[in-house]
Amino acid sequence: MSNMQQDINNTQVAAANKETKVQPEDRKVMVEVENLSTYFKVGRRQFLKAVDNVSFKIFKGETFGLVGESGCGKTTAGRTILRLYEPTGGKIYYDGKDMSQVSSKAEMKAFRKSAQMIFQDPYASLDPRMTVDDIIFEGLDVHFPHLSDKEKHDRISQLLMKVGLNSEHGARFPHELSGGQRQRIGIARALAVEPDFIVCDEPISALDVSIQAQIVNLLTKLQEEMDITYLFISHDLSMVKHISDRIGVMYLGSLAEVTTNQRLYSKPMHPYTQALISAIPIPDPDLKGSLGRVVLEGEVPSPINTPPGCKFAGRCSYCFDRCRKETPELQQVDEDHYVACHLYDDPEHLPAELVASWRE
Amino acid sequence: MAEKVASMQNAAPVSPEKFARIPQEDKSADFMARPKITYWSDAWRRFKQNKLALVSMAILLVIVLMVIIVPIVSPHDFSKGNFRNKHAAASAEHWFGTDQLGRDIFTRIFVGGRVSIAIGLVGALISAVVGTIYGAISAFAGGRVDNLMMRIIEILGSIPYLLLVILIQVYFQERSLGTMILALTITGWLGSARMVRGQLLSLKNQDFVLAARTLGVSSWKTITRHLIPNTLNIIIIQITFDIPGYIFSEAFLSYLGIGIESPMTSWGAMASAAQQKFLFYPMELFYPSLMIALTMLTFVLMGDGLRDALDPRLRE
Repeated sequence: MSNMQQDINNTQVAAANKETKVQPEDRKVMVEVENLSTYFKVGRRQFLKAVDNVSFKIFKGETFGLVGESGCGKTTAGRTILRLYEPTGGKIYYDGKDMSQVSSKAEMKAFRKSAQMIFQDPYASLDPRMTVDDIIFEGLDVHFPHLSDKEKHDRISQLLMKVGLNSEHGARFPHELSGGQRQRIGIARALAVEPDFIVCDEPISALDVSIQAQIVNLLTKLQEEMDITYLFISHDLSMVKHISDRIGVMYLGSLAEVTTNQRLYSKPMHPYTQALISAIPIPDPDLKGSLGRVVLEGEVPSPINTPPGCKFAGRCSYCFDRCRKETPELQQVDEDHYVACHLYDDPEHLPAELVASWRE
Repeated sequence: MAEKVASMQNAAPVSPEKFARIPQEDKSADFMARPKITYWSDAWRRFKQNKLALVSMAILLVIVLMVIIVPIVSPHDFSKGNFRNKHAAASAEHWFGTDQLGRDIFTRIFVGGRVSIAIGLVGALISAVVGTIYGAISAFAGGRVDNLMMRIIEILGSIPYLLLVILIQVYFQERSLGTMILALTITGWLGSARMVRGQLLSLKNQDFVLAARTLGVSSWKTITRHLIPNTLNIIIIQITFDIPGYIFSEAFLSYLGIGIESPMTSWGAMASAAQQKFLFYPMELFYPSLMIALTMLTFVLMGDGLRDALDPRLRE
């Protein structure tokens, strides 16, 4: 708990840095996903298109937020990037190297050391039969076999300190720890192999709000200290706004919009993004009434055998003929702003009320 | 109350200067008072809290000890009868009396117990081993192999086991402990194979197994470090529930007269012999029946306690 003050200070520094941290010119691409698709077979000839033709880039040192409602394929996308699921199509470039086809053991091992994951459920992600020491030891054992047992245990103690626990927790079993402490163990396990890139798969959604802040602050602090790139998957828009540099919005397996943090919240271009942003609870009752709320009708359609056309067409209030026939591609409409929507192909279709909601 | 709320609303807002951060240097709150315990000692602690299971275990231990010791120290031979002392009532010499051939029932109960308990233990162990291996292969192979292996289980399960028992006895031309175990286990492992497969399938997709894959842990180490330890409790519980099942099956077959062959005996065979003169000598039926019931009940109660103790989800 005494780390909290320090965490808060660090976050303030981090927030101040965030504006200037990565300059567009000298950004180095850490992960690039090109037309990535992951389908699951669900019947004889039926496929569930969990991730469908998704492309985006994550720059080194940044936090890329991936948002969307439940079942939109964010988790599958994250897991496919880490090759935990086999991609059905498309390419995954990691540090310039195409990882989608790699099958050699040595290359895969190097990738496993460099790219890690933090899981959503702090209860399911730790083996109930192993002590905390053993859980963290596992990664060290695979990637640092040359270290002596004592060195490994020293590292485990250091890692536990780093995530705000102490070495005394090492002999504990996961069930003896609280949700927040368990999530810290999950972070320590990922950090043990000294990764450059971490997929955070909804790391805070299973936690209490006060603990959420602690974990997010810890993640930010670690990013500052160790220069880690994050892919932060979440459905909590206010948390994503707090932590991310750039954000991708997913709907039913496809990307609807990709842009910077500021632009997404001030100028949401895709009608779906707009609806999402308007749904963020505003803690100020005076301000609450002044902003309009876009309420979406209907349900998310099934990702099995999706009809042609824009996947959002059925729920979009600005939908026109073309949206039902042709699938929109993600295209650049502004600097660092990509949208998959037909409204922006033709200025005449662009509804005035959508433009009016922008707060530039 | 209303005044208080009103005065609070009228009061000037509290200035930020009035708040100060309290340093919190003391980390002792993070230390836990509970002593360190391993998984097994924690399970034992919880098992001990279940008095019924603990008593059952004690009774079982006594039965097992008696089964081992009584036939050795008993002055009576279990197979030698005395025709002048048939159907004797309980006495100082024959504690439970004698049977229709004048044999000491007390000795025979514990000789028969050897057969019953041996069939229970060996049968449950064999079906656990075979079932675990079969279920594990099926779960890991997945797809078509898994499908085929499960269909084989269903076909084997659909054969009436009485028929199998009779066929095996006809084939081997004998009714011994070995053929009994073979006959009972040939289809007995199906249940544990299904259970192990189900458990492994659910474990395979658990986040901690995925985390091990993300760390680059080899499949072999994932199996030995994560999957086997997490399946062990299920297998142990399955064994404790299988044992009374086998004991009962043996008793049932012996009662029908297709079980163990004379002069060897078992609880079921003794009950079968005794029921012919049940109206005149009810105690001869009572003793073996009591032993069957007591053993089965205590195994089930102990298994129940074990399941509660070994399941981490039931932890308080």
